[in-house]
Order: sequence, then C-alpha cells, then structure tokens
Amino acid sequence: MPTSAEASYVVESCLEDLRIDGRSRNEYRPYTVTNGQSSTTAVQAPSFILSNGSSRVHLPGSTTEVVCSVKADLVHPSPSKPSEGMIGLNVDLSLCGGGGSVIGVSSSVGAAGQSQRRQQREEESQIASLLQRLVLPHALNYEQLAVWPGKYVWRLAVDLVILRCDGCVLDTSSIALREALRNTKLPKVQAVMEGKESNEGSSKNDLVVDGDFSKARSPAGADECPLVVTVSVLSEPLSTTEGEPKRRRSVTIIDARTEEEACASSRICVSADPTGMICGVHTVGGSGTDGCIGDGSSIPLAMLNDVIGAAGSAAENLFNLTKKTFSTNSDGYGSLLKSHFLVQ
Amino acid sequence: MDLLSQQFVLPGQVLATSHSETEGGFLRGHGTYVELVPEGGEDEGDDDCGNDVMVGGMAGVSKKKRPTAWGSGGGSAQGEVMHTDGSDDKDKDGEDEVEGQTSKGPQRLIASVAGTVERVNKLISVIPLSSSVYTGQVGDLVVGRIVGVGGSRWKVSLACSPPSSSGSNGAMKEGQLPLSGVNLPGGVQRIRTSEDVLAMRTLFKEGDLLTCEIQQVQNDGTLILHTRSLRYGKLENGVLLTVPPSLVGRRKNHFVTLKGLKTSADAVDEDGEGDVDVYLGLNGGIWIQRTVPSEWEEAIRSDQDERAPLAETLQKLRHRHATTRVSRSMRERIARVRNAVECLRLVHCQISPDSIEAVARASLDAGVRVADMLLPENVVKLTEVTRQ
Repeated sequence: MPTSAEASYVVESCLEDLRIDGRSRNEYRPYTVTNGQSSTTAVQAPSFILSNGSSRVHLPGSTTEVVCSVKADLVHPSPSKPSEGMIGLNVDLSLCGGGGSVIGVSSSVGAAGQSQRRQQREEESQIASLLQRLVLPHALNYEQLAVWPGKYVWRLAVDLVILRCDGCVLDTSSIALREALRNTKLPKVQAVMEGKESNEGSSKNDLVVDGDFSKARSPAGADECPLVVTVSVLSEPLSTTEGEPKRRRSVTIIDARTEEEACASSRICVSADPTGMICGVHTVGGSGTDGCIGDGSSIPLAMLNDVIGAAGSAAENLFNLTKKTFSTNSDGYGSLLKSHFLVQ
Repeated sequence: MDLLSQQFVLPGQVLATSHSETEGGFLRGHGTYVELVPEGGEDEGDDDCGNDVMVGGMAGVSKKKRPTAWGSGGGSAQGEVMHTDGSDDKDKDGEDEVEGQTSKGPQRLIASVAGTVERVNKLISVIPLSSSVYTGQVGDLVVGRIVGVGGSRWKVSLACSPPSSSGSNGAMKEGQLPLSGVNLPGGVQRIRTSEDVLAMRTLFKEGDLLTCEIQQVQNDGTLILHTRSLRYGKLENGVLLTVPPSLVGRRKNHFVTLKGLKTSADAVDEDGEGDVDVYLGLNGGIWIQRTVPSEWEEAIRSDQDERAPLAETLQKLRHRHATTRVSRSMRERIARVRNAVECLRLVHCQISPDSIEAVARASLDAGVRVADMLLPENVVKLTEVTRQ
C-alpha cells in the first residue's frame, strides 16, 4: 500500500527509464538457476533425492526463492485421454517474510493470522490455475509420456514451493517449472506381455524398469516448455490540479519489483515458447492501489503493441539466457534413480 | 558459578537439565525453551555428576558425548554449565510458574538464540547478541508506515515495507502516534480539539510513510511515537528500503547527507548540489531522497514575511520538495545509494554513512552501472572496503 508520493516516484522513475534499482525498463534482475546440471557454474547441486528432476530459482540476497521438484509415477491413464500422460501441479506458497501475490498486493499488515492464511491459500490456487492455463498445455509432448497407451502412462507430479518472492511470481515459477522439467529423467520402462489375452484371470503383463541411468531420458518436448513474462503497465498519476483531463503517459516494464507491481495499473502475463509463439495471455487487472493511480484494469489500446513487443523481446532474452547458462550435460547423478517408481 | 553466568551459547545448546524427582531446577527465561529429555538418553551412571546436576552440551547428543561436544563448541569450557544446589530447592515460590513442569520426566533447557547466558537465581535466560526483532528504545528514530487512523491516534507499522520486500521483519511491533504527538500545520501550539480529530487524515493517511521518534516504551512493549520536531514528518519523493534492524546501529545523527557522489560528468542541474539525504531508521527502514537545495530555502524566505515561523518555511520547503520532479541524474544517484545499502545488506555489513558512501564511491570508481551493482560478483567486490 504505497502512498501516492511513493508511487509517483516509482512511476516517474520508470518513465525516465531508470528504475528505482537502476535497471532499465526491459532488464531482468540477476536470477540464478540451479538445476543440478549446470556445468558452467560451480554450483553443482544435485536434484532432490527421490525426485526425478528439480530446480531452484533465486535472486542473490534471497528476495526471491522458488524451488520446484518433479516426481514421476506410472499410472493408468484417464479414460478420456488413454494415450496421454498427465501433469499434476501443486503450488505451495510458504512465504517466510516475503510476498508473492498475483491477485494484488496483500496488505497483510495487521491482518489477522486466519484471514492471512486464507488469502495465501487463495493465492496458491490462483498461481496454480494460471500456470495450468498458461504453461502446462504446452509444457510437454503428452503423447510421448505414454508408456503403454491405454494401460500405463507417466504422471509427473510437479511441486512448486515459493519460499519468497519479490515481484513477478509467475515468471519465476515458470522458470523453475521449465528447468525442473528439462532436467527430469524418466527411466526406460518396457512393457512385457507374457500372458495370453484370452486368459484374463492370470495375465502376467508387467513393466520392467531399466535401472541404468544412462538410458533415462528427459520427457519429450520439455525444451519447448514456455516461460511466462509478466509485463506491468504503469501509468502516470492523475494530476490533482483541476482542468481538462490530460492524456496520461504509460510505460511498460518487465520483471517488476514488489514496489513497482504495487504501482502498476495492470499486468499482462504472456507465455511464450522458444520458437517465439505465444501460448497464452492473461491480464491481472485492478492491481493498482485504490486511490493512487489504479483505475481498474484498463490498458490503453496504444499500449498493446508495447506490451507485445516488451514480452517478445523479454522472452527471447530469457530463453537465450537459459540456453547459455544452463547448457545441459546429462552425465553423473546415477544416484538419482533411487527414486521409487510406483507401478500401479 | 559467577564465571558461567556470562557464557556464550549457540542455539540448540543445552543450558541445564533437571530431573522430575528433584524439586527445583530452572525457570525458563527469554531466549530459551524447555524440552523433555528423550527416553533412554539419560541415567547412564554419570557418577561424577550429582542427581540434580545440569550438564551442558548440544541437544540431541547422547549424554556420554555431551561434555566433549560442549568442549568443541565452547572452547575451554568444562562439561558442567550450571549446578543448582539444595538451597534453591527450598525456594518454593516460583515452583508453579515453571513451564512444562507439570509433565513428568526429566527436562532440559535449551538456548534458542545465540548470546550470553544470564542467570538470576533459577531464572535462566539468554540475551541475544543482535535481536532480529526490533525492540524500541526511547529516542530512536524510526521510519514507519501509517496502517490505521482512529481513536485520536495513528497506528504506525514499523515493519514499514509492504509485507513483501527484503527484510524478515514480519513480527515487528506496531507503534502508536497520538494526535498530541504531532505538530499542527503552521506550528501552532494548542490543545487538540474534536475538529482536529476529524481532520487527522489531512495530516497522515493510511499508507503514508513518516519518520518519527520513540517517545515512550510502555510496559507491554507498545511504542508511543511523536513527530514533534521539525525534522520529523511525512516522507515523499524518495525511495524506501528495509534492512534487518540489527544492521543499523545507534549513532549521533540519523539524518545524514552524502556528499561527493557527483561525478564530473554530471552537469549542474535543478537539484542544486546534488547531494543525497539518507534517513537511517533504527527499525531497519531506510529512506533516501535528494537533499533539499539551500537555494530553495532562501527563495522561500525572501518571499515570506520575516516574522513567519520556521515551521511554515519548512512546510513550504517540504511541499516544494514533494512536488518538484527529481532529475534523472539525481535519480541515478539515489538509485546508486539505494543499491549500495542493498549491497551492504547482502553481505550483512553495518550500515553507516561511511560504509554507504564507501560502497557508492567504489562503484563510481570502478565504473559499475547502477543496476549491475547487485550482481553477486560486484556485491563482493564493492563491499570489500567495508569488510577490512
């Protein structure tokens, strides 16, 4: 809940292309991704034990910290889509002294613990449903997740824990999700059919899990997993002086801090994949603080081009960044396959 | 025993153990917690210790190993931390207050913070080295945010950031700013009327940031604030950032002006000298804004009647500061100072005018772009001066 005085400083800074922490409009903060496979950095953190893939996105100084883990199970497919795998997404917002809201600025100062917790649950489900809509449909090649079409498919249980977040919670979550999926290793599973089809009672149909780590593969299509770029639109505060309403100048920024997010009149989440295709768009509206500058979730029509441009270039930068920094080399970590594959 | 009363302990260290059979033992003080000794972890014939002896060590270490564990952790200390002798047992007064004493079985007292042990009779507490939660003292300058107006007082959150940003100060207290603790506009001195109560929002409304001083700390820890000095008041047109309160030390002056951040390339602009003001709130709120140029004050003075009170001049000066746009070069300096403070926070160095200036200076000398100051390698490089 920033004052109008504070908000105007933030907005004016963005208009000057020199944001409060010195960044330009289209500049990311130095996110660091640990995914167990980055050979370029000294950080060689293994994936979580018992998970098939994991990642951690954080900002040095830990104002943002998101951890993601992927666990794979073999399950029976759903009757509607017998030859497709599944992804279950679970988001946990356990903010220790940080904020990470999609809905708006959670002004939980002085809020009772109960309502605060309810608000957190609400935000968790918001983040989960947004990721489900924006990222998951394009995250993987679902048909390749089928081990035995109609009988057994992989079900990836994705757990996303947001420990703290300083703005742009969807962006960081999607980076974590993508990196975790990309370093997920699924063991080679072969279906063995021994029983005769007619002998229904004692069919010895079985699955053989290959314990050899070198044969384990990443799920197909993980490299095409999209990332979410949140573009915040900040509008100049209404001048208090009377007179005919001037046209307010607006500006788009990416990777907004919490302070900037609080001043934004609206935010547009664009999910884009590495080929430059837009996979989904969502507007988070009405986030501007009442009475300050926000007047609903309207975006000036002329801004739309800016938004798309900013999102496009930001996504491109982000993909280049991830490609450069996290060139994967898929050796080591044989112990990863300690995970138990549940065969139902 | 006197020697031991000032011992340094770490979180998790066992301060004392007591047996259920023996009456007495300890009283739990601040910075400690009581835990039941797990079954089988005791009574293995420690002959050298009496029945009611308290043995030091780390929690979770089996009893036989405790003395050595203690020795490695605490240096030259011996295995025994404290010993309650029989005389304490007769002291029945505090018996009922012992927390958790109702449950049977031996218990032990464990430090929950790092600090020095203090003991008053049976009451054992640990005084933390640096508190993570700000507890106010009279006279402290704090930066707070108004969270409520009503009852002829403002409620001020001293966790001044939106609950989101950097510091982990969610547990911070709220302060109270009574209507009688503020200066009325124009600096008039009179008893507050009911009209003043109705017009409270014209002074400060919810969300406003302000600097104030702690006037009084009440018995329950509530902080009573005041802004009855011309230096205190609403904060506008600048940047707030929060740091852990322990990084801001008490000093003579918490309103500091950083000079010499100007590069030769900067042209003389409307911001006068181009100095940056930093207000170091002891609750961890740090406010950065431009230094109001002295020309402004002169200009306002010359406009005014000579007998006009100082309060009025300053009020106008404030208004001019709030409504005048900050130039780009000034914004850059403010951002540089902001990032310098952030750098110091990242490496957990004391935040003082000297250290801020040193880091900002180092970044200027090294030619680091403002936004790049927060890159990990730069943070380490730039703050090297302050860590020598």
